[in-house]
Amino acid sequence: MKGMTMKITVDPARCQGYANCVAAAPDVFDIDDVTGKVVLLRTEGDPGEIREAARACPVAAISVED
Amino acid sequence: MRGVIIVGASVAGVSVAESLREHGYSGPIRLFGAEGRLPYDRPPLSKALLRADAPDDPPPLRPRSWYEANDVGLSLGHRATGLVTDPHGVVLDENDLVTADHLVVATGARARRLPGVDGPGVHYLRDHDDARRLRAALGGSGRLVVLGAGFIGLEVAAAAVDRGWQVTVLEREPGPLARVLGPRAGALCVRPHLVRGTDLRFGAAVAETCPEGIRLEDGSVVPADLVVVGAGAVPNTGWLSGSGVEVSDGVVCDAHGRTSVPGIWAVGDVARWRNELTGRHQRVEQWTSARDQAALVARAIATGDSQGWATPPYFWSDLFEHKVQFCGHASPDSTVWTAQNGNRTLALFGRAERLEAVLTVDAPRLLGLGRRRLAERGGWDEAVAWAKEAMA
Repeated sequence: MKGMTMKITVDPARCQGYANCVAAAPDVFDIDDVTGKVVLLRTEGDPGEIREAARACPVAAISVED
Repeated sequence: MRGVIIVGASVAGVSVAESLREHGYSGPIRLFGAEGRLPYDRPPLSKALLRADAPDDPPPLRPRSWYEANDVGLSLGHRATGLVTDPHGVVLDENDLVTADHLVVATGARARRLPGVDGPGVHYLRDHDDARRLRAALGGSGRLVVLGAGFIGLEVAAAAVDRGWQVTVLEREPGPLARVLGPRAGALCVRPHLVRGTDLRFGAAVAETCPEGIRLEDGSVVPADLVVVGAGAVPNTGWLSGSGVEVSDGVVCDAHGRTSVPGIWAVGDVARWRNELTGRHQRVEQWTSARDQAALVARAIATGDSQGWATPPYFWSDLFEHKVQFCGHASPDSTVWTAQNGNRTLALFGRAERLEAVLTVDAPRLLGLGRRRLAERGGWDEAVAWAKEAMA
């Protein structure tokens, strides 16, 4: 399943820099050190990690569609 | 099937309900909250909600429609006053008994009161009504004294400085944030306060309130127009007395959230879980831990497949425009490695060749990567090598 394509959407306006997504899926999500907001590094990755990143976001700044 | 009762409707309780449905649980779920308002998030109470332009109502954790859509029976304004077992049930308002197959205790904690510290100008901060009163009081101006240099105290101090108050923080310990960060790392977090002119005093033993403000044990007086106490929290376990559920600084749980009574679980601030990763068995009053514990208990109830808690505790704090983030457990005797590069600060805590905790200021990406190292039980030397490269 690794590398399966999902539609990942991030909303930097909602992001508060909690970095739960970086801990869950560091290959896919990053936080810009200057803006403190989420950045999408890639559009694919481990689906389990990506779902966990979306679920763990306290402000629901990440959405995922299969 | 009598279903699940969740007692307490803050982030821990609401997350149990949410996670039960995510795991396909189809039985009745009833969620009881003591406060009258729709369940809301508490971290903003000491941060954004103290601003002059803050909304009057806190943002709800979930909209009212969510509870209906997920068939979660939400009952607000009811206080749990007793717990019975076999069948498991909760007594509400000393009157009604509601029973269930599983009962989840999520009654949280309340602000610790300081003896001798009271009066009309003294504020404690735990729920939204507290925050609203404090926000209104901050509408004036003058001298604010904050008792306690923990995160709540430092956040309130920052909000007050932003609103034009002259702020003094009194802390009994020799340094800031000592309870969480140990004796050495707290100084890294309070620089924003020093830059903004907050008067931070350590080793200050408070005796009592007096007409002029706060009297210290050495007899000196610190003038205050307003006092905010941030002295930690006490778990809400009084209603469990005599129930057979073991309580000792919180509801005693194993690494799965099981209490001493089968079918009764506890999550969040009220619960003292064992953490399989850190080996600690202590209460963790943190948003992320409440969510993690709720997910584990819900999974165990819904599927019968129980997993132990093995994620490192994590929290964040906002001081002015700076973001402080901490993950793991620091020990009083941890080795602390620190580095700064531009605005970014990184500290690693280690003991016995293992990485124990990571602290960052304005470096959220490093916190996220550090958390992953903690979760993977990373070694100390590799962590320091990584940190040196990241901060170069």
